[in-house]
Amino acid sequence: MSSKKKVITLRSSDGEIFEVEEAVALEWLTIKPLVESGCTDAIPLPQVTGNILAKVIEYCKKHIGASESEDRKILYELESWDADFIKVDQGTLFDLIRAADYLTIKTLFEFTCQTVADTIKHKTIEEVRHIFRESNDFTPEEEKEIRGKSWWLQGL
Amino acid sequence: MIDSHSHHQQQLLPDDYLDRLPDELLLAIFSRVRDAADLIRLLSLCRRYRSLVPLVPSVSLSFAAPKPPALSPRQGKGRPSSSFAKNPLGFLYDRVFRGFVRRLVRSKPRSRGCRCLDEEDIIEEVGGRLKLFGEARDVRVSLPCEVGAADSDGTFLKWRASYGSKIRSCVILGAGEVCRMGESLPAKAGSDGEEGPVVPLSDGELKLRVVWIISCLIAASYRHHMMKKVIESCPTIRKIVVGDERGQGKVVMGEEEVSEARKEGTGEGRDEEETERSEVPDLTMKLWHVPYLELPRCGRALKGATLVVMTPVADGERDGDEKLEVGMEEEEEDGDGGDGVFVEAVRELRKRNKLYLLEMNSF
Repeated sequence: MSSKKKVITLRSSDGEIFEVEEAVALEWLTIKPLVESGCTDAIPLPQVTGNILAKVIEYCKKHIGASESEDRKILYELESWDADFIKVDQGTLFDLIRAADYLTIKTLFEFTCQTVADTIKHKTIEEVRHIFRESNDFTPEEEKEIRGKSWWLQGL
Repeated sequence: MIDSHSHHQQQLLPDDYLDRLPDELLLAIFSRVRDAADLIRLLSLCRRYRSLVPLVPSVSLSFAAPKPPALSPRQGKGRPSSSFAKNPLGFLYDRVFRGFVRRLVRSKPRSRGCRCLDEEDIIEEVGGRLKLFGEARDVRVSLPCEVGAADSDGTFLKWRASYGSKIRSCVILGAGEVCRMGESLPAKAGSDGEEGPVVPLSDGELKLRVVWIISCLIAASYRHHMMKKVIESCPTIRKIVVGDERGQGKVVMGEEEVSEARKEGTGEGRDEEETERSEVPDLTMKLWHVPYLELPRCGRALKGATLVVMTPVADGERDGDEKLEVGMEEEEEDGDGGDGVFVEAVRELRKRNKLYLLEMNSF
């Protein structure tokens, strides 16, 4: 069945080889010109590890064609598939954002960024700090000032 | 709020830096947070965020309904008790159609001041909060609805008005009830296809529609009056949407509209200052109505669906139609409140034969 479909070979940063259909690879704007030029060698992706690349391919394969569907059933199914797909640890999620940005995959980038944005909603500062692993680098004076200025934060 | 102990422990984690996202990706995430309260919390998280968050282009501000027993600041400031009292039309349906109208109109304190936010407070608050976001171009404001205003009767009402310096269009969709498609087929709907006979509205039904229309227009013109002041005080704004917490009504000003309104300024006549709302010009009003409307795309059905489309008489027909379609496309992009009922129903109903074509005088 798939014998006629053109296949593109990709190599991850850790040397793993992946094969994807041309239609999938054409959605990745970064490598699109290479794919269109008829490149037959394995395309090196030095910024993406094998495990992340596998996830990216999984997502794009599922979404190709389905996202534009008008069929409600397909769209519902896709939505719940997405929800399962994104149940990953924070590190993987950030890696997916980096990969989607690097490969310029609009749908995946939008989806992963929105997922992180949603996790920040209604969280305390400490919780957000933990998600992003950022430490508090304000001096005690600055902190005092911030507290003083954000008195109106309480009303929010 | 800020725990100064924890940062020492966190600094010990060796791979913190590896896990960090570069600034442009963090900004991409922050730009999707939208809610000002969440963004403001990020501001006080660390230095890096403090410099990044103000670059976020889209911000939404929601005003929660204030706690009920609070004092009314209006009384304290000695402002007039209610501009509605000075507005005969407002007064009329405040009296007659109160229950319905209450929740449509902006958060204006009514007779006994159960709402504590008024226009000036909101403009001040929006301006103040936006100062933290130096780059906010796309701003949404969500106004509270009155306490206790519930859709207990199941009526569905949604509207969207587009404004420049004046109203450009207003679309209202109302229905007796929204149900799942195929859940309850009314006897009348029958099987004779899409274009059923045009069923005229009863007097009562027509009256209710008139209430919808007037109250939506009044709510929109109050909001617009406020928006003009907000865009004047916040020069970064290029697009602004003012909605309400239930997602019932929306006043939208796109890029072109905002710059038009800025050009004309708020140099309004004394009338507007007094009524605190923009004048509604002479409008052409088209009304569609079907007893039962199926929406296959979103899987819902509307009972007694009415669509009203209003455009300024001065605009002429074709121009208005085009603008309306652009508006629906924007609404679709915006997610249409999550369910897609509004956009689909508006498009479906416009395919039918219209029931009424009216003109409405300026007020």
